[in-house]
Order: sequence, then C-alpha cells, then structure tokens
Amino acid sequence: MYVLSLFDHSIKLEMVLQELEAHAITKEALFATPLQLLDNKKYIDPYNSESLNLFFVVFIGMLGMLLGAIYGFVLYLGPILWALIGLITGSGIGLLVDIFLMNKHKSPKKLGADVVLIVKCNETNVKLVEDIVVNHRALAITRV
Amino acid sequence: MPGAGHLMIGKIDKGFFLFIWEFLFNTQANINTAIVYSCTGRFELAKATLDTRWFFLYIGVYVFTFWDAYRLATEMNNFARLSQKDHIPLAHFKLSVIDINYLLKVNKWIPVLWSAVVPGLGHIYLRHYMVGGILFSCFVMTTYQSRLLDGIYFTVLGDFGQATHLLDMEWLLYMPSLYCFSIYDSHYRAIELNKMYEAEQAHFLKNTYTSSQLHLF
Repeated sequence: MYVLSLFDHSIKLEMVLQELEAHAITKEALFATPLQLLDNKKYIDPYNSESLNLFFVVFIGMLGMLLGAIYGFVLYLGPILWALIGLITGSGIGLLVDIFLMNKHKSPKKLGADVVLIVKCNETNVKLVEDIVVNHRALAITRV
Repeated sequence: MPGAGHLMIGKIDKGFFLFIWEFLFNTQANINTAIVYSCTGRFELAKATLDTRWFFLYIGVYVFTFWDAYRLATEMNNFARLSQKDHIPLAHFKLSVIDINYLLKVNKWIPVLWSAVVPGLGHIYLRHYMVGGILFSCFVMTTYQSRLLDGIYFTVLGDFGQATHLLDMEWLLYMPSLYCFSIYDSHYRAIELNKMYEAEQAHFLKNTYTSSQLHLF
C-alpha cells in the first residue's frame, strides 16, 4: 500500500520525513522527489518577469521622488510633501506601464506543488502515515 | 547611488567603499546642491556652489562604477550558470559563537515593508547583516545631516516655509535612492533566498530519498 502526497518546498517537508522515520518507516520505504516545473527552466530571471517588476516600478518612483524633492525647495508645499507626491506618482506610472505596456511572458497557471512524496506502508500503519502527512501541510494526498 | 549595483551582486566591500567615496566627494563638491540649483533654473548659483577641486575627481570614478558593475554582473551570470550545472551544495545551517544562520523561505513583501520604514531593516530581517548595516548607517547619517525629521515635523504642522528652510538639500537628495534601493534590493534578495532554499532542498531530497527500491505496480 502506498500513500502519495504533494508538498511545497518548506521546512515542514523535512519535518514530515523525520517524523515518518521516527515511526519506524525506513528510508527505503520513502520516496521524495522534486517536480520539475516546465515553465521554470530559466534560472536567471533577475526581473521576475512573470509577476510584478518591482525594480522598474521603484526606479521610476525614485526618479519622481528625486524631482519632487528638488522642485519642492522652490514650490509651496516644501520638499517632503513634493517628494512623497513624486514617489506616489512615479510608482503609479511605473505600475501602469508595467501592467499595460510590458509584454509579459504569460506563464501557465503555476502548479501549487513542488515535491511528490511516496510512502510505502502496510494496512496497519496507513492511517498513521496519512495523519502525519496531513498534519504537516500536505497539499494533496491519496492512497493506492 | 554609486556602489549600490556592487552591493546588489554581493561585492559588498567594493560597494561599501564606493558608498563612502560617494558621500565624501558629493558633499565636498556640493553636487546635489548644484543639481537643485540647476533644475530650478538658478545656473549662476549652481556654478558658484560646485567645488571644482573635488568635482573633476568625481567624474572618472562615477563612470568606472557603471562599467565595473556591468562587467561583474556579466561574469557572475556565467558563474551562476556553471554552478547550476555542477550542483554545488549550499551550506543550509551554520551555528557560530555570535549567530545562528540558516536558509528558510520568506515572504518577499515583508522586507519591502521594513525597508520602506527604515532602509536596512529589510536586509537585517533577511539576515543580510553587512548590506543591512551599511544601508542603515547611511540612512541614520543622512537623516541627521539632512534634518529630515525636522522637515517632516514642520510639514505635518503645515509650516512649509520653515520645513524648506531647515532641510539640507545636499543631504536630502540621497534619500530617494537610499529608500528605493533598499526596497527593491531586499525584495529581490528575498526571491533569491527562496530560490536557494528550493534548490538546496531539491538537491537534498534527490540525494536522500530517491534511492529506495519502490515497485509501484
């Protein structure tokens, strides 16, 4: 009998493995392997191109903040408020450009799981194994 | 901010010296003050403010910083590709006399929030103590010299004239780059830490838990 489950990469995963081994399930009865996500081939993606490009947004925001602080010295409200206005305006412009104008590589819906864990067990301890797996934030579970 | 690019790619010593250099030369040559005067159309004042003895020294190193950061980033990318292929193991836990350090997944928006309050705190949360310490001390020095808190106090009270009068334009112009650099750098460091954690755990699982002789069917 096998208990199959899906996990995120997290410290809980290592804890469930240790817990199972503490309950007399040998390493030979455990099989855990990371799932290779097909849209995750690109290792170096410094701009996080699939989601929000914070570098771009903050950079435009910084330019706005700088101009706000500079012209704040001669405008009525003073540098502090104009810097804040510049920051908000700049970040807003950056956000709008990032959302509407950047051609984003639309990745398929992200798979919620990173690791598949298979535990070999027998009729007597299958309930125990399932309890341990469920209590360590497994994303999905089934038995075959 | 010269040096920020070096801090981003882990060249912390060089980035730190470039930060010191930037603060020293910029304040001695009064470059930020000259920028404010130039942008607001007071060109004669701008010319009079710049100290040419320091200003011309500034230019060469400023251009060097761009070139050097670009070159280093290109080289680092090559090393990253090579090390990914070789699966160089990462130390995931380190216990020492003064600290306990370990890889762990973090929420990438928490450092953004802390950096927006005080630059450097986001990095300290991520246990990047060197970068966090540098940014934090730069922020404290700049806040004191620019009289930022006085400025905020009088702005909140509505006395904008007094706030403008008190604020030091030479030092206040560091604030946008300090804040915004801390925000996005801590964000990307959190993302990279998560990637490192996943790579390390995947490596560990492959080594430890895929050797069993399971016959499913």
